[in-house]
Amino acid sequence: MLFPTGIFAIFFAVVFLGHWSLVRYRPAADRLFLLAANLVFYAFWSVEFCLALLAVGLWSWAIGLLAARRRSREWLWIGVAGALGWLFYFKYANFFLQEVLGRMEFLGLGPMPLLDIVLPIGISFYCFQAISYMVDVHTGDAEVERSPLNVLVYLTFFPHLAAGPIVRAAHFLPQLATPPDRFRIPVAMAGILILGGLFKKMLIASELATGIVDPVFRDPGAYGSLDILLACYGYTIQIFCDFSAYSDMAIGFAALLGFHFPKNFNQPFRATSLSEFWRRWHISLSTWLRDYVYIGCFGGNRHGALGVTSALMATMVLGGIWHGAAWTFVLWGALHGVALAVERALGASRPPVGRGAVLLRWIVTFHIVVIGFVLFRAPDLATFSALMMGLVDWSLPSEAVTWRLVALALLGLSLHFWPADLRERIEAGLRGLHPLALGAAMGLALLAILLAGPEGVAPFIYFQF
Amino acid sequence: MRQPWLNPLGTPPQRGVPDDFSPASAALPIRGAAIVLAVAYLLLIAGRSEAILDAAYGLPVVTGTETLIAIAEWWNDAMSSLAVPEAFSAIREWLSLGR
Repeated sequence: MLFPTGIFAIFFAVVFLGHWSLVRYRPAADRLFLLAANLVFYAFWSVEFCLALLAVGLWSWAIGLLAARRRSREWLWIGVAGALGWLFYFKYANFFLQEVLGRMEFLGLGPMPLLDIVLPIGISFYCFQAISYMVDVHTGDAEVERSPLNVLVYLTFFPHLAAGPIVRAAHFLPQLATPPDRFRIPVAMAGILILGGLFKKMLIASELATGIVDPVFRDPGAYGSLDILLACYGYTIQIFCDFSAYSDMAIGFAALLGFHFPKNFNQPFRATSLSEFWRRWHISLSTWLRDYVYIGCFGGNRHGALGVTSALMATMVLGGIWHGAAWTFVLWGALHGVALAVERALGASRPPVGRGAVLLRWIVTFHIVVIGFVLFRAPDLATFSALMMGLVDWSLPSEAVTWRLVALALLGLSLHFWPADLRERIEAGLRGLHPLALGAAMGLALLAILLAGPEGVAPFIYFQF
Repeated sequence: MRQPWLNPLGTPPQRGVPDDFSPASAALPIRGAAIVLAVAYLLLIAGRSEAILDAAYGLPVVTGTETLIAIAEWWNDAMSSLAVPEAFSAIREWLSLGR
């Protein structure tokens, strides 16, 4: 079930009414209702995987109980290994069979058969949250949950289930413990987030995808250099407008139900260093990797310059591999790891001084990010090479570039340079409106976005991860 | 009472919190929130009456499908009598300029 669809509109209306009716008098029944709603939401993709989702939730709950008991490290390792094993099977089994075992001809192993594996939607996100729960309970950052229901609602909560943001157990579970205040629903900001997300997805991301990015990445040899250039910039804008749109809508829908999710994107393309970029891009994943991988597994900044560089590289490469089993993702992570290490060695993670330095650093940072996303989007290294070669091959005419696509790409980029508190300013303008007028304003904005966007909705990019 | 990101009752609003919500975020009671959503939904189904009718025609034939189709047809006829679908088609065409 995709957010910008009629079926989701009906689903959300039912959940909104049911949740606020139940939560006041019967909080336990409300949590059961939310769990049922989450499973219905997920069942639109796969009924079978609902059972798997419940199994991961029950596994995390049981390991949480065991790991919390005398801070048992052994149970924690078993629990994390179980969640990672589940993730590994679905995401990497075929890659492992083809790329590792299939190439070990010296052991007498020939080409390996492909397994018929369908990747469950949102598997990475719920596995990461399961790990967050088990680790946080073990370290004492989150309270152990005696009730499996709370852990299941946490892991399956529908706004973040398919594509994040990754909400920590320590952040979410206390919200389940106390019923939300039904007199304090932040409707205006939630509406701004949902409509803003819809605007980015429907008007910018979808049109850039169908208009230039998908055709060029499918067959770069058929396009001129300007087409390829716009496709490279276009994909960078598309992935931001697509992914941040989902996050914004998830945060907005959760807020309408009285739940708070942390901010996931903070104008990332205005960053003047890679380290700043990672503090602004997919914040819930970058902080997850920082806390559980960079610090938790590799020791963070504790092991000298060489240790820090190695930890940075390993964390970023793992972050790349998390996105999928392909060399392009590995190289994307390695590119960011190298860039972060170089930046650290040159002391360039400090803010630049002077307009010229700011501009230069922004250009360098943005283009490293663009090259990284071209790698990220390319289906294989041959396509990436073809795109890079095509950029300097002026023999073909560029006929796919239109003023509308250029304007959309520029609009997507310009969002990063609008005032950081623009949403608050819009909200302040809506503050005095009567609910009828606020509803009319939101309804008309919703219709305008649907009219301006293309017919139909493509799945969000991060559903595949 | 929860929603700690919102301004506690009786305290002055603040700004500059690095979050989508801050203690300054405006909040409505459930009745106000329900009115906002109801009006937004009403406008949505008014503007999308043709799409709703298409979706109704595509429903599997079970008990109640005919009633749903009849409601969708009635709603679309009502909107057509107000020229809503025609107006929206014209706007859509204008907005697709350059596509």
